[in-house]
Amino acid sequence: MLDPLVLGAVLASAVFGLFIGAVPGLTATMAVALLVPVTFFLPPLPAIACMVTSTAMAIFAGDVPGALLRIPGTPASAAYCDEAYAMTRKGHAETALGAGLVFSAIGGLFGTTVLAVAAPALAAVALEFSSFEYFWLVLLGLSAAVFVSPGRPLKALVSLAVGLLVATVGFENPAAYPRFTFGSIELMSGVQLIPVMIGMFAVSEVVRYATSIDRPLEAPATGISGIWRGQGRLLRAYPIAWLRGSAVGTLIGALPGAGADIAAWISYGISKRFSKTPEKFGTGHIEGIIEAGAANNAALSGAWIPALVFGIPGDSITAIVIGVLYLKGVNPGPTIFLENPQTIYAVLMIFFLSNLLLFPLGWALIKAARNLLRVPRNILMPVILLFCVVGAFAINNSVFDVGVMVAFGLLAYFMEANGFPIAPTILGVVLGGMLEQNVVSSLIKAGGNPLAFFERPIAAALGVVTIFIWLSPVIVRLLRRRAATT
Amino acid sequence: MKLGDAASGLLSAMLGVAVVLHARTFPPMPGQPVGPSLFPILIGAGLLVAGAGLILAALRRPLSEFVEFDSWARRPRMLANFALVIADLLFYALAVDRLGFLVTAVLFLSVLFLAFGVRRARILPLAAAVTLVIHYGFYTLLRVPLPWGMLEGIAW
Repeated sequence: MLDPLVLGAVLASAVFGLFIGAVPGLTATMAVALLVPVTFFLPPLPAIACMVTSTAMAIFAGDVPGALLRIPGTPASAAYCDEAYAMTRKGHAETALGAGLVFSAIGGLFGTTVLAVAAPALAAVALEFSSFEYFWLVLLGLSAAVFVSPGRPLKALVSLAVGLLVATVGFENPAAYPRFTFGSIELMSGVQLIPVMIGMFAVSEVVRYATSIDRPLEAPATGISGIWRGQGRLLRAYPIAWLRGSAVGTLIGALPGAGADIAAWISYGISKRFSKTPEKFGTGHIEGIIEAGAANNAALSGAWIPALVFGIPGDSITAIVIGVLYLKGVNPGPTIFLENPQTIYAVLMIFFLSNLLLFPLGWALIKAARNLLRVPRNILMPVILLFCVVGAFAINNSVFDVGVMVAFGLLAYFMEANGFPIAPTILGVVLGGMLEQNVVSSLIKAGGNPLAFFERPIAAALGVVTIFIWLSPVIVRLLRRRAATT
Repeated sequence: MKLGDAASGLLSAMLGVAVVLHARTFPPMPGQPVGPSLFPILIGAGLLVAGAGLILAALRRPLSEFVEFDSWARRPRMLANFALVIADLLFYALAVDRLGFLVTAVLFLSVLFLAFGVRRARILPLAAAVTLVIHYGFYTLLRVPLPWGMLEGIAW
C-alpha cells in the first residue's frame, strides 16, 4: 500500500484532478474518463488510487473559480457558486474557499467511514440476491436516474432508452446473436464505452465552446491569505450543516445514477429550508456552502457503496471505474469480499489518504488559483480535444473508436441543447447489458412467466418501490388536484 | 439546433418504431421463451411511448417552434467553427495513419488555435510543444502505438 508507485500515482493524479476541477468546463467525470487510458497500463490498485484521488480533488477544486469568478469549475460546485462569489465580493473569499476545503474533506471522510462500516453488512445481504433481485435493483437505479435528472422525466427516459439501445449493439447478448451491426466488423463487439463517454462529456464541451461567445476569464485583483482562520469556529457553529450534508451526500451518492452534483443541489436546498436564517442565503452566507460542500464530496464515497457491493455504479464516475475494474479482472460485486478482501481494504485506505490529501493540496491550489485561471481557453480546448482523440484511440488502437467518439460527441451536444440530459444515456450504456442479462435469465428460469418477478420477497419489495417511483408523478398530480378542489 | 418538444418527440417515436420493426427480424433462441429481440423491442416501445408523451405535452401548449436554430447558427463565424471542429476530428481519423501522429496532431492543433484566435506567432511553437508532450506521455511512457506514418524513417 505504501508502494512508491501507488503514492506517486496518487500525487500525480491529485494534481491532475485539481487542475481539471479548477478549469470551468472540465468536470470530475471528464478527469476520470481522461485518466482511463493511463490506468490501462497500471495494475488495479494504482489505477483505483488515481481515479479516486483525482475525483476527490476535482470536486473540491471546482469551488475555486466558482468563488473567485462566479464560474463553477465542475457542475457539483454550481449549487453554491453564487453564494461563494457573494462572499468574495464582501471580502471573505478565504473563508468561503477554506470552508469549501475543510468541509469537502470532512464530507469525504464521513462517506468513507460509512463505506467501511456498512459495506460488509450490505455485502452479506447482497449475496441473497438472484437475477430477479438484480433486475429490480438495476431498474430501480435507472428509474431514480430518470426522475432525479434535471429537466423533464420524459426526456430523461428518452436519454436512458438511447443508452440502453447503444448497449444492445453487438453479439454480446444471451443469445449471442449480432444485433444492429449492419455488416460492420467493428460493431460486432458492441460500441465501446470509453469513446462514448469521452465523446459525450469532453467533445461536446469543446463543440459548445467553439460555438459560444466567450467571456475572457479574469484573475482576481488581490491575493488570498488566511484560509484556515475561523474554520474551527465554523465547525462548532454549524455542526448540523456539515453532519447533515455529509449524510445526505453519502445517501444520494449511494443511489445509482445520482452523484455529486445532484447531492450538492439537494443539500443546498435542504440547508436553506431548515436554516435558522434562510433570508441570509444568497447574500454571502457560509451555511449553505458548508452543507453542500460536504455533500458533494461525501457523494463520491457513497457512490462506491453500490459499486463495490453490487457492481452497480453510484454515479458516472464509478461507472467509469467499474468499467476499468472489469477490464483488469477485478469484478466488483459481493464476491469481491470473498475473493479479494485486500482490495477492499486498500480502496478504503486510498479513500482516507486522498481525503486527507485535500488539506495540503487544496491549500496549494487556492494559493495558485490566480495563475491557473490564466491559461486561456482558446489554447486549452484544442489541447483537451487532442487528448480526447488520443485517449479514445488508445483503448483499442482503433480509428473507428475515434469516429464513435465524434458521433457521440455531436449527439450529446444536440441532446443537451434540446434539454435531454446525457447522464441517463451513459448509465444506460453501462447498465444495459446487466439489465438484459437479468431479464432474460430470470424469464428463462421462470419459463416465460413474468409474475415470477414478484415471487421472492426482496424482489417483490424492490419491484413495488420501483413501480411506485414510476407512478409518483401521476400520484403527485392526483394529490394536487384533490388539494385544489377541497 | 433546437427542436421543439413536438419535433424531438416525433424523432424519438420514429426511432422507437424503427427499432421495434428491425428487432422483430431477430431469430428466437431455440427452446427458450425469450430471445434477442425482447430487449430491443422493449426499448423501442419505451422510445415510442416517451416520444408520444412529448408530442402530447407539446400539443397541449400553445404552438411553439418546431425547429429553431440557435443564435450561434445565424453567425457565419460560429457555424464555421462548428463545422471546423468536426472536420478537424475527421481529418485526424483519416490522416493519422498516413501522415503519422506528430504531423497530424500539429496540424490538428494549429487549425483549432487559428480558429479560436490564438496569437499567430504562438500557434506553431505551441502546437509542436503540446504534440511532443502528449507523444512522450502516450508513446514513450505508456507504450501506446501511435502511428508514425510517413515519418517511419526517423521513428524512435
